[in-house]
Amino acid sequence: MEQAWSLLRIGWRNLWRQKRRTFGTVLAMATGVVASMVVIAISDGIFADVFDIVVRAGLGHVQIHAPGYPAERSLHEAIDDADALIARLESQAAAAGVSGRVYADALVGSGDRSAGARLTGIDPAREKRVTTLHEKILAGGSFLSASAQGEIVLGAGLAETLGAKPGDELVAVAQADDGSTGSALWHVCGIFKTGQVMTDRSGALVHLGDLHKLVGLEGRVHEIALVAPRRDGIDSLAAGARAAAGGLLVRTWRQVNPVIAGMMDLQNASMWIVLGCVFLVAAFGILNTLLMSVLERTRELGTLGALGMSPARVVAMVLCEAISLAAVATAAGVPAGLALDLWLARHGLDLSAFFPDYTWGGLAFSSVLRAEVRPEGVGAVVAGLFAVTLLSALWPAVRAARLRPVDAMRQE
Amino acid sequence: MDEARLLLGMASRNLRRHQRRSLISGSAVAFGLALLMVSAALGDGAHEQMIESGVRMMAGHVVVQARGWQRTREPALAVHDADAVVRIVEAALPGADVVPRVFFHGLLSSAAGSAGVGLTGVDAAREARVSETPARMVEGAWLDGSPDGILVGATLARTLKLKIGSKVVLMAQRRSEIESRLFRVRGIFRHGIEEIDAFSAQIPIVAAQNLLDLGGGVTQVAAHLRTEAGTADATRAVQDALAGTGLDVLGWRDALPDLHQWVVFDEAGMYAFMLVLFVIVMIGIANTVVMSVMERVREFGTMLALGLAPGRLRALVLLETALLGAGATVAGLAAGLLLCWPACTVGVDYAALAGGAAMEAAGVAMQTRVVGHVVVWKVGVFALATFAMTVASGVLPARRAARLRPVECLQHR
Amino acid sequence: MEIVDVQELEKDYRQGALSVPALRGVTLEFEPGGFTALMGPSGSGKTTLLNLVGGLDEPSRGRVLVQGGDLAAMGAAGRSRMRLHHLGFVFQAYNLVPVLTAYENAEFVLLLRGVPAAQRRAKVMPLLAEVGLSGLENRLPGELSGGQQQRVAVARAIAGDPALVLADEPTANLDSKTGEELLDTMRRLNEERGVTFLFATHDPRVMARARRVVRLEDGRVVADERR
Repeated sequence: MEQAWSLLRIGWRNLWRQKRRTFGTVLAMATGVVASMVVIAISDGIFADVFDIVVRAGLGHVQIHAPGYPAERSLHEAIDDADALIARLESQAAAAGVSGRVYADALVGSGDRSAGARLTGIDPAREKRVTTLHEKILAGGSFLSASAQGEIVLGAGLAETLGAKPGDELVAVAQADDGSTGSALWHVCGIFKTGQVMTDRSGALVHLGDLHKLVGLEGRVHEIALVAPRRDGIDSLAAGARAAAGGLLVRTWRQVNPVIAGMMDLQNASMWIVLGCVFLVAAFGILNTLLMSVLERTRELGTLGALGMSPARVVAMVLCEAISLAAVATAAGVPAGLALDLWLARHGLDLSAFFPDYTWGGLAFSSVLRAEVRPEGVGAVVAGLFAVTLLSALWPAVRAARLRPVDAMRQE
Repeated sequence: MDEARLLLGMASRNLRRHQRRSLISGSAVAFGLALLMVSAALGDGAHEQMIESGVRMMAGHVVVQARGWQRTREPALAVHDADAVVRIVEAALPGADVVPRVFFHGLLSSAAGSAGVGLTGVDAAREARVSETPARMVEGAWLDGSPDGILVGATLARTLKLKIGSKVVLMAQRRSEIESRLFRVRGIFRHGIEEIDAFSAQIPIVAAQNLLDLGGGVTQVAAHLRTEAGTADATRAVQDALAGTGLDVLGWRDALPDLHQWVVFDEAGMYAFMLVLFVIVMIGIANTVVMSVMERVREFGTMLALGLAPGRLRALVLLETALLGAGATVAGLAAGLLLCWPACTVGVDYAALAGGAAMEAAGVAMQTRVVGHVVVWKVGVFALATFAMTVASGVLPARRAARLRPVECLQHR
Repeated sequence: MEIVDVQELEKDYRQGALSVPALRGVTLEFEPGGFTALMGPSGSGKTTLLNLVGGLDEPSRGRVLVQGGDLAAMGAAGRSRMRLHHLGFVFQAYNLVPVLTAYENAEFVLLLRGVPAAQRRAKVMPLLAEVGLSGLENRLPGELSGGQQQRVAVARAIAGDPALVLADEPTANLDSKTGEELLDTMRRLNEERGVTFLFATHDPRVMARARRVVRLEDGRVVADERR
């Protein structure tokens, strides 16, 4: 241990013999660290956005359907005894929230304009624990009340098509489960904008009770959405739900929406490729520095060998120098990277002057890039830096160890 | 002259003297350039595919529309006497495919329900040459001559429970009245983009014109060129041909601003990243050059003592950096071209990374298999920029070398 | 007319916060054709004086005139030109350019002056022969012994027919036999070609061959013998 410590001390001091060179190398490495941290943070920010839009504001983590529902989306493929099942699921510790939904297509009309809409009947109190829909209401309106009062919340696109605003009255016409056509008079209490293009264009929210009145299906729902307290609890949540739900179809959000999952995987993969390139490029500089550092000390290393220092220890010494280098670069780069990340997380990178908001994968993204700082991200960068530095140090270290003392000391 | 040859000789020999170091530094630069070339090729290839797709689906490389329609999208704003306009555009752009279209919104109803849709009235024969839809039919066939045929998206068909031959009622606003017509489903398409598959349908252009009482007018006359590169010239040609008619003539960048923005955004992101990468490489080069100068302080001092002008010493250091840059640029070009070869023939399949599903951006499908496209002038710019940046890395160390004082150098070590 | 005229020369060095005087007022003249040794213990200022004469450093007080020209008035560029055309240097550590061959090192100054290749060759080849390096012209310094390298340095120093050759401890890194041979070569050049030499040294063999010995102690001239 004592020896390891002294080797580290030697490695550290060797680094500072050539201050200018060390400074230059550290600068390059720190730039790499900062760049990597920013890329990861923005990537995580986008992931958080996507996750928020798709999962937190709609899907939930786990969904339960009647086995035939996903294919046809038929009104009749509903889950029976929904209340009892929901109560059972709520009693499971793994679930932070459980909510049942009924879906129906209707023609909604306001004044002389009408459009097709996809109605979602929800229990507002339960839904608040599962999704963040209630936070997506635009100013001037409000979410549904806890009890059924004939309220409807329109998607922003749908509201625009109908020319409707909060306070307006709407007529909804739909086919009930017994085949008859029903109509209802509702008033608009709010307008939502989730960021999912399709949902905003044709979706609307009503109270479960109000929708049951329109289309029947009392005591039944089409979909039960569950949410776990943390992202890493999703799989156990699904397992528990499967056990409780008997023969019903239980899926995680990835299975329900593979396209979004695919998008995020692609985004993730791109990020790793980017990081790989950054580190590879930094590796060249590190290699050169350490190689130069070793070669200019040929005579000295020869002397050490003559004095009895084993090749293994020489390797260790060079590696210690590499560790010191990585440590300095970390100390220089991480605070700067963190500062930049936190600034980006707070203020976002406002690119709206150059690009307007854009759509990708059916989701609307704002052109203000927001970063998300996660300790895992920082940890990954630091680990990567140390790994790259140590790998780059292998060749110089081995070269140093292979010197024959006699030859080395003869060199000028 | 001899002096220049001496400096050049010394520069190249100095590089060779530290072969390994020069090689490592040069490799970093070469790697950066090769990576830049491949990224740009793949990016350009992907964007071209997207642009082709988007332009086919929703516009043309050059479009002619009524003034103001691009902004307001009012169906009443029409290009009158469409046949004449089509002929004029065909004359101005020989070799281009010209298609007339009518765009409007309506409500499509079947026994199972109704849905709001975006409709396109198309000239079946002309459209088939340009549109991707005929290739994406999953049931039935492309529009034939029948005036009441309609094509619907697969999701829309499922929602309204439509099959081939199903009857649907289309309601649309004609001035202040609602008009409705009966159509029969002739085909069902799937593009893989929800917006299109769930919300769009196509009918014969004559039926659209009748429904909306447009007479011989259309919403848009779109021209399709062989390659995107000719857009600017083509736009100008059509603008000249239609001068004085009061019609808007737009290139695809103005007609599909979202797509254009997406491409610009994506490209900018890639270049921003490459810039950061290059900065890291250049810091490394500068570092190496500074070190090589510091190592030779005594040698430089001697030369200054002998009477070598300081400016020449700076030139020597810059020459070394330039030689390194030149070699690395050439190596990078070679490596880049080598990598671009498979990228541009076989292409890269992102499906493995993305888990297989089709993806979309700015309303256009992104194919998972991207075939790269090397734009020659861009490669030239990259090579030049790489060389310039490498030389620039040496400027400060060279200046330092020129400022050395012989006395200090000679006492060194 | 003297080649070098040094007047009331003083030079102080800064060492941290201290000011260390290396020369405390030296006045000397050196004539053409001389073979002069500046001698003294280390720290006596002989190297400093040599550097000042060569325009490599600036005095704190006093003037240095080389062939009538005041070095201080010339500016750095002017001094550089002066060195190129009028001075030659031989250093203790040879200081050859490692990537140039013996021939290329020797012709360096001529090349800088713009002398055409044929003329350079005509000048340098015989010189190399004269210092005993025939056949070794294309060797790199790394392939030559210490003595051979120093001889290349001497050839380089006189190739441009300088008015004055400044030699700073030229024999310090050589074994006794090689050193003697080198000094004999330099003496021969002095007598046969009239090359003026000024040495800074504490090697007694130089003193034995010098026709004038200037002794320095603590930055002052304490003796000036002519033989």
